[in-house]
Amino acid sequence: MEFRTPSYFALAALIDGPLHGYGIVRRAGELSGGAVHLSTGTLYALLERAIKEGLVVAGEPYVQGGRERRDYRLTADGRGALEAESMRLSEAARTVATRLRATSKPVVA
Amino acid sequence: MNRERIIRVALRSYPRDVRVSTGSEMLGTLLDSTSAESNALLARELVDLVRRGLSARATSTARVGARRLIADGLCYGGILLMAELVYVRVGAYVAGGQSAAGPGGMWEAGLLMAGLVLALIGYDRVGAICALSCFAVVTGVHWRAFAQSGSILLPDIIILIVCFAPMLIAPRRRRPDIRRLAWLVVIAALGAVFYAQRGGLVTLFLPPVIVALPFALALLPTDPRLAIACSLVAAFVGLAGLAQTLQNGPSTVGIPLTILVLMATPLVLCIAAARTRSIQRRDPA
Repeated sequence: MEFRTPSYFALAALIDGPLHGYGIVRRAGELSGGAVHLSTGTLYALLERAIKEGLVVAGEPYVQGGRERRDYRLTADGRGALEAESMRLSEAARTVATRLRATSKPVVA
Repeated sequence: MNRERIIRVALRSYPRDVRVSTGSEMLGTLLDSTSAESNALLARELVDLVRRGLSARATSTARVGARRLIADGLCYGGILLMAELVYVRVGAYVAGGQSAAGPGGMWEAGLLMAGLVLALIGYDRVGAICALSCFAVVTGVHWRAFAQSGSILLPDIIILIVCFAPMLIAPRRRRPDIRRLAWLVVIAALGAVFYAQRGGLVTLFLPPVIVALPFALALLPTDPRLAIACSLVAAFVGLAGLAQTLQNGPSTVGIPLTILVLMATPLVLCIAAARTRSIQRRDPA
C-alpha cells in the first residue's frame, strides 16, 4: 500500500500513542520538519479512509477545554502498513543515492 | 460573523450524517489550528473544508445508486409540479373567482393540496394517488373543453405521469416529518405573487426559477436530483406556454421564453445525466 505524504505523516504521528485531531496536525508538522501542514478537511478525510481500511481506530468522544475531541489510535495493521511504506521509501532513497554517487563527477574549479 | 460561526457555515457543505458524527470535533480542531494564525490560513482551511465537504456529499450521493437518483429526481419533479399547480389554481381563484380557477374548480386544487401536503410530509405514494386521481377525473370530465381551448397538451399529461408514477412505484425513502410543511409558506407566497400579477407565462415561469433553480444549480455538482426535477418542471411550463401561445396567438414575450425553456430542458437533463454518471464512477454503489 502506497501512502501520499500527508497520509504518511498523519499515520506516523500516531506511532507514539493515541492523539486527537489537533494533536495529529501538530505532530505531523513536527515529524515532517514543517513540510506538511494538514488542513482539517484533509485530516478527517484521510482518517475516515484509514478507519475504513482498518489502519486506525477512533475512540469515544470527550470534551477537553470546551472542545469536543476523539482520540485516534494506530492498529497493528496500520503499524505494519507504515513499516512497509517506510521500508519502500528508504529503499527508493538508497537506490537513488547510490546512483547519484556512482555517476557524480569531480567538481572542476 | 465570528470565526466559529463561519466554520459552522462551512461545515454545512458536509452531508448531515458526517456533521452529526464528527462536525463538533472538526470545529474544535479547526479552531485550534487557526487560533493564532492569520486570516489567510483560515481562508485556505475553509476552502479546503468546503471542497472536502462537497466531495463527501458527492460520495454519499453516489452510494444511493443511479436508479434511485433518477427516481428521486422524478419524485421531486412531481412535488414541484404539484406545488406549482396548487399555487396557480389558488392564485387564479383568489384573483378571479371560480371561473378563473379553470374547469376543475377548487375541489381539484383541494385534492392537489392534499396530495402535496402528504408528499411533503413523506407519504409519496398517497400524494401521488391524490394527484393522479385528480388529473384522471379532471381530464376525463373536461377532455372536450381542454381539447377545444388547447389548455392542455398530450406531452403535458406525459410529464405529469412521468413525475407522479415514480412517486407511486418507487417513492423516496425518507422518514415522515411534519416540519417539511413549512414549504407551504413558500407556496402560499408564490400564490400571492400569482394573485398580484394576475396570471401569465412569466408568473408561471418565474417563481420556480427564483425558488428551485438556484438550489438545483448549487447542488448539481454533488446531487443532480433537484436539477432533474427542475428540468421536468421547465418542460411542463414550456409546454404550457406553447398551449397559451396557440390559444392567444404569438406574443413578444411568450415565444422566446417558451423556446428558451424548452431548449433548456434537454440541456439540463443531459448535464444532470452526465453528472449522475460521473458521481457514480467515483464511488459505485
